[in-house]
Amino acid sequence: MTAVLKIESASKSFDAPEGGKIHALKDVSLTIAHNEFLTLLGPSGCGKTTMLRAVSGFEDLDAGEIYIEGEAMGSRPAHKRPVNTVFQRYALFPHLSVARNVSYSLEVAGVDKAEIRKRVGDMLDMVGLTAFGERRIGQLSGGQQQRVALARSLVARPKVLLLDEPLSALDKNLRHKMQEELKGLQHELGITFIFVTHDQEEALVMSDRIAVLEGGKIQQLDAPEALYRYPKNEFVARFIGESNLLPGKVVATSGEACDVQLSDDTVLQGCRRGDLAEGTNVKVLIRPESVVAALSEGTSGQAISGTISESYFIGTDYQLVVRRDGLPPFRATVRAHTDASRFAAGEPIDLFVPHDGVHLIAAEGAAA
Amino acid sequence: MKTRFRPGSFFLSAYGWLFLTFIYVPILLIVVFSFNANPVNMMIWDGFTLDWYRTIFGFPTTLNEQTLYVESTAQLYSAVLNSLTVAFLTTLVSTIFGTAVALAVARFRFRLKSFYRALMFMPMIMPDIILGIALLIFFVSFGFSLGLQTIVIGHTTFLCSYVFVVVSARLADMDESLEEASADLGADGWTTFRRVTLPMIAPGVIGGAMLAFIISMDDLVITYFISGVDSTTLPVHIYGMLRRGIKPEINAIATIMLLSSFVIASIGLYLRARKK
Amino acid sequence: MTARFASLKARRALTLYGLLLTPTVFLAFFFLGPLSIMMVYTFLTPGLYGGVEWVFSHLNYGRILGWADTRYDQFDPVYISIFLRSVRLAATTVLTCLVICYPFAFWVARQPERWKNFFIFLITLPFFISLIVRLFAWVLILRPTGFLNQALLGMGVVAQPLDIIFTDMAVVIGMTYVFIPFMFLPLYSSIEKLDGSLIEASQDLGASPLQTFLRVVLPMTLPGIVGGSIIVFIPSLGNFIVPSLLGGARVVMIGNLIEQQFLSARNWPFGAALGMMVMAAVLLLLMIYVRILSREDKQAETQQPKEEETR
Repeated sequence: MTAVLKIESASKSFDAPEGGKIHALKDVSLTIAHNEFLTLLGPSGCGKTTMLRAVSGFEDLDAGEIYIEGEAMGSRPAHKRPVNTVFQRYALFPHLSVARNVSYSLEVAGVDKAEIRKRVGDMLDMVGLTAFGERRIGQLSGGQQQRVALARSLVARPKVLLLDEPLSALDKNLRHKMQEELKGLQHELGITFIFVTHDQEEALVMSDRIAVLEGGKIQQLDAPEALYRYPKNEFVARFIGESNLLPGKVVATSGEACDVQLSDDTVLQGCRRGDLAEGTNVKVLIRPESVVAALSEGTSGQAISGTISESYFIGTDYQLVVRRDGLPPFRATVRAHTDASRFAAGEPIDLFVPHDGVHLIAAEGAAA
Repeated sequence: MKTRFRPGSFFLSAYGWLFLTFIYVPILLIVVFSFNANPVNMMIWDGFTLDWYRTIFGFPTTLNEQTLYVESTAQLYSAVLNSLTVAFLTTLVSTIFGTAVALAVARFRFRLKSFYRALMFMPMIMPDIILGIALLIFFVSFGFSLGLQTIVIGHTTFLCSYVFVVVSARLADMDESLEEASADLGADGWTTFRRVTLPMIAPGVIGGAMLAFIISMDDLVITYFISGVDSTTLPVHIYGMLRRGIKPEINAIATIMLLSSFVIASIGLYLRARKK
Repeated sequence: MTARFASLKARRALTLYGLLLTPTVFLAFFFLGPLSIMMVYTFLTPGLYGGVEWVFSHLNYGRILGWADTRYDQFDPVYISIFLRSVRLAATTVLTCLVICYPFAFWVARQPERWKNFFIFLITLPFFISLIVRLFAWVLILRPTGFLNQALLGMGVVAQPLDIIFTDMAVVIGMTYVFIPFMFLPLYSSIEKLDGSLIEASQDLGASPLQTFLRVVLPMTLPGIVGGSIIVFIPSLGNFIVPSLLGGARVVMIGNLIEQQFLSARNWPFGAALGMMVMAAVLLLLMIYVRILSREDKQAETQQPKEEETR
């Protein structure tokens, strides 16, 4: 795989309205391969939109460089860059018809009429709006507008398509449908997508890789599953999915495995990733859904024992808050079964934790 | 409950219609009495005539010489022509200036922005007599000869503010990301302006231009100070006529002016309604 | 191979200069220039036969405010009294406009949407009609042989024609008629925003209609009242067209005085100084207005903290 987009040590800061500077990007480097679906994920203000705007040419970097297919972009104006953007609220031209919106980039590039007609037709077919060419933008539903925006920015066959939270304005059902369509479109066209969102579920579903941003830095760049299972730091662990983060200390290591002692002296065995030496202070990540409630006496394995303090029935599962002296409140999601009384508040419970459900993160401030 | 007679609401309605009567009766009087044949007392109805209209258009009338107050029609025509020339040029220049400043203030971040806002606001709140005398002093001390050119300059100084305000309102309603989308799709600055920004703000620009045209046509005070001897505009001409004495043909002129105002206002409102 | 482009900042700056250059030069030259030279003129000595001598003089203000060079001009309290009369007439006009427009704006705000727009159209239409035509109508109505007197005489209400034209009242009527749209629009926009449930809430809490009006309606529509009053007051104060047509020689306002200085007496420095009086009054008014506005803004800010916006 060759790099279609390379961001090298990009930095950008803005003047804050209250005075001082906001550092939107701090020395960020990123390489994106051909035909990759990469998501920039992070809370608002994390720098993801700035990154997108720097690539599309709406912001100059203070330092660093952006290369598209090996060519440095420098201060190249937005209209001379081989990337197109799907804007957050689509930014469709209300004074033009659907077809004229889609043909816009070809018209300004001086492509001849017959060619334009053909490509616009193909594009509208592809997004399923064949019959809508003469409609006005105001006559379309949100989902249709979304498709027009896609068609408009894909018709010129950009090297990279940038999508700035394009699904945030749609309702939930439509969003799921559009997620599938987007993914399909990307497969079909073989264009690199850079997708910005603050919705982690959306990111996990669609992406080949996800870059989690916070404070102007990439916290972790990984495939969705790796990101979920093996977050590199507390921020990523908390930002993606539900998490229990328990303070602990590595007490023994042997090859891939290691033992960690929690603050209540319980010792759990987990998998070791990275080089956490004995004696390192760590945070132990245990996802609420990776634990299993003991069904009968005699189930063996490592367990956290405690008392249920809160219990919520949510259909297929129970969400529990389990308390144990010396540990922070522990959240667990367990399968609901017939004997509901077992999960009532006040009941004692043993939660079994499989070895691969225990992930260690170097505690903040400790050496990694 | 609903049908209960409510005196408050009844009196308010009655008042509303009375108010509209107060606004429109004076205007209607002019129209009605412009057809009054009584040459001695304009306000006593003495039969229908078109003579006053004939007079101002220079046609022969049935009135005998004694009752004719014919001002020179040539003067009237030249005043109308002057007014139109001034209004046209003023509208052109102030629409360009006002739109340019509105674009700058709406779309750019710069340190002097509040200065420009104030600068565009000032002429609108300045009493027109002040601007009139200031311009007169300025033109005379710098050796400009008073004439149509000074009127155009004078009108432009305050009319670009009106265009600015109308266009700014339109720009504020327009999503800035449309311009970014255009650039993103490969259009350079000028193409973006021509294909996206201008069509989007066109109603504002046209509205501002029409406003500028109307105000320029109607301006009396500033023009009064800075028009030369040979460059009288229509309002100044009528003001002069009124000061010399009230004559029936002014009714006819006023009626024609009313008619054209209605036509312009209707066109403006039609355009606005069509946009929606 | 890579083409060099000017930075985004430089490109935007270039566009900005392109947009602002010509208007700035024009306005600096033909707007700020005239205002500055007018201020300079107020301190120059009038020439004997019109024109000015470039000699510093404070007597132009002296003649108005109370000191004068007795060799040429006497201090004459008539200027101050004319100024005060102008203020009084302008204030009366504002009040009349307000009293007339307020109930009407209320009535319009209650109409169904289509009628609302129609009434707003009706009230803005006169704005498109020539000012001089609208004033001419009132000359026709108020003259001794005018419509009003003919009607009153005809109905036998009066035996002698009433003496209305060339009085303060005629001037106030004329200015009120001309400036009504200026008062109506800001007033209407604040009255239309008024939430009807607030009035109901006030009544529900036991307030009488008068109390509701004074404690809820009036404070909530105050921005419209103040805004409308200012934009009526400013053109009224310096007006000379209305008094010259409807006030004649008997009702002289500061505007007429200024006009005389420029077009017949040809004492421009003195005329400019009179103009500065009008300017000063207008600026004072606006400063008060801005003070009130900024205080209201601050109150609004403390009530609802601004939403954090980050990118």
